[in-house]
Amino acid sequence: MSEVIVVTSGKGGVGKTTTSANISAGLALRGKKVAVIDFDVGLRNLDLVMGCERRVVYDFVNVINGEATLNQALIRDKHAPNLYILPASQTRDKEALTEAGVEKVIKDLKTMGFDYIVCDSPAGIEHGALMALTFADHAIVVVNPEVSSVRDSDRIIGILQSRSRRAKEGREPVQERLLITRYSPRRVRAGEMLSYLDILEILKVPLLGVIPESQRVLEASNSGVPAVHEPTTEVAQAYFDAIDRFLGKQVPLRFVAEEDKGFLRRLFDSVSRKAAA
Amino acid sequence: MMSLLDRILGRQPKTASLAKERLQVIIAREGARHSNPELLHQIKQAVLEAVSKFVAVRPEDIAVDLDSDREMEVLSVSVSLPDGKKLKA
Repeated sequence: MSEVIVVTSGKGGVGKTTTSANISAGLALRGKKVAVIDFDVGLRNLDLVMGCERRVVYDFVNVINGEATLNQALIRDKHAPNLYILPASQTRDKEALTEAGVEKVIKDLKTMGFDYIVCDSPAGIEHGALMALTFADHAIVVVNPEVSSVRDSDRIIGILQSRSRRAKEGREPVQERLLITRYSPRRVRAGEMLSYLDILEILKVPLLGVIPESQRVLEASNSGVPAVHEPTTEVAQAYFDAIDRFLGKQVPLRFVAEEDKGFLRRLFDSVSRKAAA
Repeated sequence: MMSLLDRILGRQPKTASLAKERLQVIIAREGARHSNPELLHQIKQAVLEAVSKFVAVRPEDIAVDLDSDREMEVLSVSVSLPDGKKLKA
């Protein structure tokens, strides 16, 4: 049984492509056969983040237009087994992604025996974003602990609940889960950042995971190797926890609290900060 | 809102709690969803029952949609009558 996962957010720059790369690579490392599709027509970037930009020959729109077969367009990932990337087209014609075309590609990927088809949505709520979520069975809503990102997530969840095929056909709704990224436990503790509990209370969507803010994410995209390939890092572990939860395992939440310093230490820190101010 | 303790200690309210309050207000007002997905289904059922008293329609002939943008929400209900069916007088 193939399942379609959309990685979406409404707002741009919150980590959709990073998350698509890590979730799909992580699922592949867990033994699943995975295809990841870049829906950001005109602004292809998943290939760069996954380090296969030099091997792009055909793209998603070529396949839809019958100019290439899926087998020709799918790029086999060099870092994870059973992982294939379908890059976005660089065309400026946003309407190139027809609903029937997208439906056929997803159907064909299912026939090819992929366990998961991950759809990396573009930002916004326009055509590309709608196409990315239309055929979803699961939605990973990427949100930053920041007001505009939280509000946009609420919007995109509303759209999932009305525009997806599942909603339109009155089937079981798309399973939505939140992935909070760029989380800083220190700033949360200082009262400068929304906590994950605040975000859950506002959005009322189950939590898939919390990914801590980390310099590793930039370095991973610099080198074109998703962070999950460095399993000792916090980011990789947080992504694997999220993936294991997605696969149905009970995994306790990590990296959401500052290491506990104890009362006296905190008091001392707080006094010395005030003295310094 | 500053808590009593904050007032006594003369602390400024934290921006995170300000963010939370503002979001709760704006999201409740925009109501992009929280209108319970079940609700549309119930409206559809009620319309089906009501219309069925006058003309035979199937559930798939009825479309109920809720669209909202920042300013307003539009509930649209459309019932297509099958060919050859006439409303009973």
